[in-house]
Amino acid sequence: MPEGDRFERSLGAGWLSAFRLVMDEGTAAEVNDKLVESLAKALRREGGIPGLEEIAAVVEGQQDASPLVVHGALDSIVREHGGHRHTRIAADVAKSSLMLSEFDPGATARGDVAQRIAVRSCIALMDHYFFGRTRERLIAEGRLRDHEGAHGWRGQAIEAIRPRIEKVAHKLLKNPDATGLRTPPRETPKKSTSDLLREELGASLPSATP
Amino acid sequence: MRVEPYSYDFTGGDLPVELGRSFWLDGGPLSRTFFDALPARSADLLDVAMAVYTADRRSKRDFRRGYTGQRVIEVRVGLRDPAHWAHRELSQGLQELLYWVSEDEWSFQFDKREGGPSAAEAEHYLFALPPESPVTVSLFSGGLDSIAGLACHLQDTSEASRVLVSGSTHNRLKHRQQAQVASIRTALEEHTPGAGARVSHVAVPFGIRAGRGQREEKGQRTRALVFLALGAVAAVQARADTLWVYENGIGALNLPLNESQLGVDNYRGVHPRSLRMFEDLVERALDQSVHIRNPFLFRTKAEMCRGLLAAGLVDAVRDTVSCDSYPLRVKDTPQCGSCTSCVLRRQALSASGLTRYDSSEAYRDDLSEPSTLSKDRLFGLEVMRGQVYRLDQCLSVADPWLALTTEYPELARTQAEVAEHEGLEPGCVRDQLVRLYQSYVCEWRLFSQQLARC
Repeated sequence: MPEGDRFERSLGAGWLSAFRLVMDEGTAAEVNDKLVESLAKALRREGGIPGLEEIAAVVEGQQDASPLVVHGALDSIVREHGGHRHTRIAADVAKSSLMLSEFDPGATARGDVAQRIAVRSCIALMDHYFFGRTRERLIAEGRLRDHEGAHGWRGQAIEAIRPRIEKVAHKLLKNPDATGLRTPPRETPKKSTSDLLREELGASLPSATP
Repeated sequence: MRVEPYSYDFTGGDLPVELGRSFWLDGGPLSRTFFDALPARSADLLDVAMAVYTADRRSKRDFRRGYTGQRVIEVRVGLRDPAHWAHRELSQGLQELLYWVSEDEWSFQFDKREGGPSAAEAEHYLFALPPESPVTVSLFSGGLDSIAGLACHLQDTSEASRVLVSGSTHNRLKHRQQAQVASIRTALEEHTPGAGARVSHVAVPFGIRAGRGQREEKGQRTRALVFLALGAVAAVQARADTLWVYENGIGALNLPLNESQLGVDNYRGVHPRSLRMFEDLVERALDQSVHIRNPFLFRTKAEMCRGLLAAGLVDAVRDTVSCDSYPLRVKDTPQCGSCTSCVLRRQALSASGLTRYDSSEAYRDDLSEPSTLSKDRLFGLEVMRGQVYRLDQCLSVADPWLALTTEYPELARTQAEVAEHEGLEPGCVRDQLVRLYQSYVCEWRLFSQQLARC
């Protein structure tokens, strides 16, 4: 029964700015820059993804194991790290990745498993902190037409920033606690104060498809 | 990050359970109904369940920073047989079960309980009078699933006696449960004279005593354990080997509604894993096995509701409640209509063609008039639509099971565990789960069309 289900609806620092940009019709590039910046900030603030290497090792080592064994191993890692939000998200990503590898034995053997898990975890963090929390609100506000539109918009944003997410993931693997993790360069220059002062307020009305 | 532990001492001094300082549970109905005193092992199980529930409610979760609100809870509880509960298998089973349902780290110290036995243990009868066998013992919450499940079960089984076990924390709920039991008795009597009289209702009141100025944890992730403990104890008293729990598959599995939800943000009280773990715990705690079965794991709520008409119980729908905020404390408006539980209820009644038995006046927020509702009040509906969209996407591809388990990996473990526990082929469980979500998505299409017409 969905009894007393809990929803996290508040947006943290950075993510809220990205949401405001969407609401105020910022360009896609501006929103994407803010999303990458917020991802790096969230990783720095929460100590990266504790247990990421162990999680990746489970995926590498237990591709043929049953879901009971794999889920047990991943849940143990989450538990060891005191239920850290990022560890949990990475563990869920690993479970999902293993489902794919079950049907395509080469899927987790190709390339660097840890890098793939790290990239997918970063995307899952964006879903958790931003897309999952704003979708209903943006639909209610008329900024997005419906859930199909919302998922399409999310897909476009992720594809546009994927190279930068890969950079963040690469740095994260080198330094899993994310200390000193730097945001990859922006695509749009930061607006100067004089530009911001000259900008017309409320010039545009929200459209149904950002 | 180090989490400061919550510590509780429920040894209770010289007070019996009924007058406990922290919680109370009147086990009287469990002995009086069967003319049989409550065994010490059963009383201990109830005390442990109540101690856990009380500690859970009193321990506020901290969601700040990166943590998911995990708590560390230390409980000291006085029992009749503390050595039995101190056995590694039993105490570890309890900790593992609690970790699964609450994702908190629990530790226990079991002490010798002081004071005499509770009234339910002390009442002596000349001889026990269990219900005429065969008997079915079912949990009966007063929600829509419990009566819809019972309606379906009445058609599938022809037991001589039926025992309905309810726990109630306030009189409003108790009165609703009683009204529904009266309807069940009448419906059975109309079908088979004498059958109504063979329905026993074991209604157990319980509650916790809140301290002054004490803030409570809203989640109550361990609440189901109290109901399951009551049901298991009633099954033992009734000499039944199975406790039936009626919950639709969508609600029992309770997949995340959006990506903001993690772990126990979604209630796991009647998840098949919880039921299996509780079954193991009961076997160790009572030295007696009680199978706990939910026969509706592969059925949607709407599919369960269809059984109400055939069983002649459809009029009882108005006495049922599903709302997370019940009682709403608004005159003649018991349910909010906008929480996810209310939305699922309205979707199910709509998809099963029973809307006319569910007055929209019983809800504060009427989904059939969305223009009258604030954006905030439409959140539950919209977030459920979002999940249905994701499910629909998974089910629309060539391999829906792969897509479903990639999107919701927990389903893979559920498949393996249900297959193992129920002795089913994994492929059969997979097909049933895919069918469950396909039906659910189809029902939502109808419901959305109906809402659009309003």
